[in-house]
Amino acid sequence: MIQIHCPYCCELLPEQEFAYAGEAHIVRPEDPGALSDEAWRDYLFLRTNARGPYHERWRHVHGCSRFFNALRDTVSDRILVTYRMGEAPPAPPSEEGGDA
Amino acid sequence: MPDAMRPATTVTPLPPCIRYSIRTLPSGLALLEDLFGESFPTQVGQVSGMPDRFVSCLGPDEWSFVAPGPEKSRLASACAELPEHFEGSITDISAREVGYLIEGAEAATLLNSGCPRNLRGMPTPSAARTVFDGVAIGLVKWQDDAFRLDVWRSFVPHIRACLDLALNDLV
Repeated sequence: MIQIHCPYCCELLPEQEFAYAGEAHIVRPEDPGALSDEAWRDYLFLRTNARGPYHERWRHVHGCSRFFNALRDTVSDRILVTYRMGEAPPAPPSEEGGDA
Repeated sequence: MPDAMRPATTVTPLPPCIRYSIRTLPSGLALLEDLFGESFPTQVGQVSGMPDRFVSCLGPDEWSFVAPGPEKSRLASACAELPEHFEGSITDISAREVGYLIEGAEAATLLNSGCPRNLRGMPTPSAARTVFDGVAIGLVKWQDDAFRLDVWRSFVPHIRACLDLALNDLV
C-alpha cells in the first residue's frame, strides 16, 4: 500500500482515500474560441507522460476532499513531495530524492 | 487473556440524531460557536464535544455537527436567525446517514477489516472522513476501544454485512 501525505490534513494516509486527477499545472487557454483546432486538441489531450518525476493532481476524495498537487516519480512510483493548490511547483530533484 | 474474559466487541446502531454539514470561512466560526455552543476546531481531524453532541473538522473549511434528536426544532430556529453577514452554509443531513457505535477491545481491528487507515495510531479523540470497503464513512475515535461510524443509509446493508462477517472472524 502506498501512503500519501495530504497537505491539507497534514497526515500520511493510505492511497485508497485518494483519487488520481491527471497532470498538474495545465493552464486553460484564456480564449478557447481563438485557438486553432490543433492547439485546442493539444490542450485537451496531449500530456507529458514523463518517465521520472511528474507533476500530478490528486484529490483526497475520501477525506478532506481537497485537490492538491504531487510530484511523483513514475519509475519508482514514489511520491516525492505533495503541495497545496496554488503553490509553486517544486523543481524535480536532480537525483534520487527522499520521501515527502 | 482467555476468550471468556475478553470483553466482546459490539456494533450498536445509534438512535437518530441531528447532523449538520457546515461550510464556512474562518470569519464565520465565532457566530457558529455561539449558535451551537461548541468550539469549532480548525485542524482537519480534530473533534470537540461529547459523544452525543460534537463538532468535527472534516476539511479546511468543512465541519460536521452532531446533536441529539430532541434538539431538532431548537437548532432549526436558531439557524434561521443567523445574521445576513454570515458567510457559509449549514445543510441538514440528519436523515442521510446512520450511526453505529463500535465498542470493545477489538474495535480497531474490526474497523480495519475494511478501513485502510491506521486506527490504532489515530489520536483520541479525533475524527475523519475515510473509506470502508469502498464506501465513504465518517469515523470518530472517542477512545481506543470506542468508535462512532456514520454511513449513508443506502450503504448500510453492505457495511453491516461486512462488519458482521468481520465480527465472526474475531471470535
